[in-house]
Amino acid sequence: MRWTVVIAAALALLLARLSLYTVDETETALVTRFGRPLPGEKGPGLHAKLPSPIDRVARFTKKTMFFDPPQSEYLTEDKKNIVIDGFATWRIAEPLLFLRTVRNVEGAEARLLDLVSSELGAHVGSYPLSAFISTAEGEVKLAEIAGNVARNVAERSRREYGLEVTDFRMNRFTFPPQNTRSVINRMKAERERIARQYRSEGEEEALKIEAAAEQERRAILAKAEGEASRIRGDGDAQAIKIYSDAYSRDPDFYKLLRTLESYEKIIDGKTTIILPADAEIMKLLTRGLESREK
Amino acid sequence: MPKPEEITSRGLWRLLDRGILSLRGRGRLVVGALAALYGLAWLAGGVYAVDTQTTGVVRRFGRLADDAVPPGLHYRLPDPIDRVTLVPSAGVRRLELRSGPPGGATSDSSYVTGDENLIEVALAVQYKVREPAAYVFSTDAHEGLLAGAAQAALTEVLATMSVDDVLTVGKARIERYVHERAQRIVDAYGIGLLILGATVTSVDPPKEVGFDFKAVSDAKAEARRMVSEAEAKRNDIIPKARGQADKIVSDAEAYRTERVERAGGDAERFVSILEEYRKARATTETRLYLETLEKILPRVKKYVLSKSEDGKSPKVNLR
Repeated sequence: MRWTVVIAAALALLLARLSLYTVDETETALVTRFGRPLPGEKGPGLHAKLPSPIDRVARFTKKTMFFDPPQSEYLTEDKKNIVIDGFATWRIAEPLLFLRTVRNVEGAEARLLDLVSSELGAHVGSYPLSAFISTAEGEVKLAEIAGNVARNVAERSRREYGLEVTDFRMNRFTFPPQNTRSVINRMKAERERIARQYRSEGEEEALKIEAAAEQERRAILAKAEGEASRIRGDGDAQAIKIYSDAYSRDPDFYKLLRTLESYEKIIDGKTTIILPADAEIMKLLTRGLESREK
Repeated sequence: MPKPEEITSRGLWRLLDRGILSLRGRGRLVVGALAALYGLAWLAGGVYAVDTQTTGVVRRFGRLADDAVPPGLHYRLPDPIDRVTLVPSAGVRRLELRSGPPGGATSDSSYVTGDENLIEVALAVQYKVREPAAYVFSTDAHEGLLAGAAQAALTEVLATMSVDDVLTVGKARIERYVHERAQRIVDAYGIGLLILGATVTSVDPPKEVGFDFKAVSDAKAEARRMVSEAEAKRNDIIPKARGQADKIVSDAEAYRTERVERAGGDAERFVSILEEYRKARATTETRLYLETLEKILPRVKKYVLSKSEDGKSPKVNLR
């Protein structure tokens, strides 16, 4: 009796082990009966099924997958070559369809590579290069282009492979190797032009400053000269007035005084004076005292 | 990046399993006691520790039960009921974008600017785990997604900038843009990361044109030097001219003062002489006349000529 209890308990444990299963937060599960999938996906938690090998559990990850296809060269609407590196994120949306069509991650990535390349090629070809790189405000349309690619890829991959593409982005541009040389040469030429421009602008600025300074110097001096002339003129005028005020009180006396003064200045040691004997100063000397009576 | 670590008590379980098997054939009592011990040990296996740098995430039968177990000693139901994942959530991590796209074929870090120039940019992103549960459940490719988002943001912002902006004033703008944009992108992925900042660690033109870019900055420096030399020259000649101007004006003022003072003095002298003169005109006249002659005549060579009888002046031969 006791042994039957023990055996029954053991059998119950075995049955539980064969028919109970857990589904993780990161998974979704399908139950297949003799290999045929039963409808309904199982979410996280503890679930029951018919014991193996009648029912089996197939698990699918819900995690976001990162798909980074190799970079590739595309042609824009204006026939320019550009190398685009992009990436997509995806997850399994319909496990059944996924299981039937691509089976695993490698299969999914192979399909996605084709989808992304063809969609990206088509969309790049309908935009000019300036929609990818441009310094003009509002010309770059990366979000729009990537969004269109993502939408189209998502639609087709969900319908055909049960994949949900959640995002596509272009994460790097370069020029194709055969174009790099000409890009480098263009950059060199551009740098040379800019260097020349800086130099001549500097020279121009310097010349302007010097010319302005010279002009200012001359203006300062001219103003000072003008001021000086005015001051001198004023001095002369004042002096003339003072002199004439004083001298006009007795012009004859002024004339006498000034003449005498002039003699003192005019006549120096090198001068020879010839005095006639009848000159006023000599009269007394030469004619005697009687000359006074005249 | 440190991976989340799973806690398991399988080792202990196996040890006890083997112990039971080796004791088979002994008494029922011993088996019963051992079974109880086995059960206790199984339950005791649920004790676990969360250290300070981490946060625990608990799943019961696979379903999320607790998304934030703080550091310390904790209990869970033993395997296979509860599962604990320790997420290193406290530390700040750093992701370097130097070697091109994650997993890509190229090891190139050159980008294209809005004016179709090539430029080498190295970027570092600082980030941490914000939501441990989302971090564990959402994906296994955190770094790839973060790098992709940061690079896409970098490409977007560079695509609108000129190479000169990128090399000079644009660094702060790039960092701000990448920080905000990459955060929005990873938020959409729901992978539980918080970006703390983006740093442009180096920006260089391609090697082949490095010299030409250097030449541009040299030209810029030379232009600046020319301008500052001109300014120095101006700062030299203008004050000199001012000084010169001051001198010209003050010379003129000195001249005026001299002239006026002199005139005043002369006038005063005249007036005082005049006053004396008016008191005795004739004598003063004579006196002045003679005084002047006295002053003049001593220093000159003089000839006094008497008139000859015929009244003509004789000829004097002066050599």
